[in-house]
Amino acid sequence: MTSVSVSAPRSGRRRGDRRTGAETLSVILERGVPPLVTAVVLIGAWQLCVATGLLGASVVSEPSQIAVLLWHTLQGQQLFGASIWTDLGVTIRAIIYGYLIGTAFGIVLGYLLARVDFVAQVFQPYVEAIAALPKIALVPLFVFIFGIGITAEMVNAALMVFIIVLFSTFSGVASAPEQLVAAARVMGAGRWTVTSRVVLPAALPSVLVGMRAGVSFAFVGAITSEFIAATSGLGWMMQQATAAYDTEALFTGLIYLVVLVWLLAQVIGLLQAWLLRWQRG
Amino acid sequence: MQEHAIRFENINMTFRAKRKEVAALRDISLEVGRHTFTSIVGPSGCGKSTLLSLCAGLKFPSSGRTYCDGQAVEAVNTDIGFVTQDSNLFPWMTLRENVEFPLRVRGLPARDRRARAQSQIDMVGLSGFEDHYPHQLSGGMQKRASIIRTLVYEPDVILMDEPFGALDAQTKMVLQDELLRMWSARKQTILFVTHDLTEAVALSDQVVVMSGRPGQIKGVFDVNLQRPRDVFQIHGQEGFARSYQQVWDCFRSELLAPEAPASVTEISA
Repeated sequence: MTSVSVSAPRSGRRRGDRRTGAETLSVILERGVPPLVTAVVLIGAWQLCVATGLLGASVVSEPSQIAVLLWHTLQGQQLFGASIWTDLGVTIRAIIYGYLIGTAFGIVLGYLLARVDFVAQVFQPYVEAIAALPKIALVPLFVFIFGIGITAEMVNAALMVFIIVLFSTFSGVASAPEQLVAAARVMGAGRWTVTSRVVLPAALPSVLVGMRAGVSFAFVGAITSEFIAATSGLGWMMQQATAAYDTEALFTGLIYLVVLVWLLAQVIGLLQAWLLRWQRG
Repeated sequence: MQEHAIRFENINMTFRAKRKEVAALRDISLEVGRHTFTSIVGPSGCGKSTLLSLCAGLKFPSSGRTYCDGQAVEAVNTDIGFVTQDSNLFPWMTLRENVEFPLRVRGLPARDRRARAQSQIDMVGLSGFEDHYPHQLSGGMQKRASIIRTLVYEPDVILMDEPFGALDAQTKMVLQDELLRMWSARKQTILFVTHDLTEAVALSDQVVVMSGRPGQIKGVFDVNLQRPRDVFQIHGQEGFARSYQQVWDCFRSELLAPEAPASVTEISA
């Protein structure tokens, strides 16, 4: 057979292309400058309001004071009897373990619910009930079972991640194109190959949407648990700060929280981009 | 040696829709000889694609039997190749991974997979695109990829369900030409579904005309055109006009016939 009329590879960015240094810099400037300006304006206004007495320093604190405290905690200054690194360590461990456990269980059960009728019949009503339940109501129960500490937090975070990942996996698996499954079977693929090479990749975009949302759910789970019953952790520290009317410590905790959640979302975003590199655009 | 590659024996197929029993296929018996190229034409919804699904073991008749290579089809038929209207490439695999897929599930070692896939890719002129994902390929390239993904495991029987339906007229002719060359080299048994009469006559040894629902066989015509055929000049080839006219006469009466009302019967509650 002859080769006929094959067009040249299309132009456009392809794998392996690299931006030049100047291009990268201009992208960073383009994307980074507007938010930075916003931050400077807002924080400046805030500082001004406190300085002129428009806002009470005891209520909203003062950006400059918060910055100072943030700096000191980074260098090891203790808040409420514990170093910020200890609190961060507890919270990060609870979030990461909870996230991983919740994701693993969510993917497995979500897949089984969509593909195995028996599992769907047995578990569907319970899954729906747990999904509808406000998870915060379970925190006291977890504290009873696991005691005050990281395990209760972790379980609460895992449960919240589990539910969102389960639903996104279920919908992804349920909508995996039947004709691709049929094509694979005709080509000789067995059950395992169909699952691992067709159904799961087809469900992946949907699973990753759930995993991305799951990041903030893990934080909600761990932090609310620390608010309610804990002896360490970022949420516990913020709870102490509230009780002591220490707004500077409260804001410091919030800043750590924002940075943490941003970092984790970036990691999942990179994972998503890499796993879905086969998608258009 | 079995005489027929595919045999449909008294196939009836009904399905239920809104408490009514609808006949989709009625009393279909058809034999497809080895190494022949057979096309099925018919109005849309006549069940011609369903016949391919029966042969692939993806659907099963209400009564009657399908035989492939003398064996009754009772489960997914992995001895055949099935080229569908959508190219059905796996979007998460590169062109190379797609073409290697059927060899991978057959447990071929990586080096053999690579070599066999590459020779197919080279054959249809897709060299240089091995690491592209399907969405980075044009419609014609996707179609070529889909066809070589079937050829690569060398099935003796290939089912094709309107494979060139969605392509522009030029690309379609080029691919028809490539298909005929490929077939003349390996002489697989091809069962080809299309709604394009010119395509059916140009490619086939035998054209089967089906009627509208319930799908029945209305006529079977031999096409005695010389091979190799030139699909670009097919209208000028001796005998084409006569064969086309035969098929068209049979097909036309079907288009003008009123819908058969007897095909739908109420199920008593």
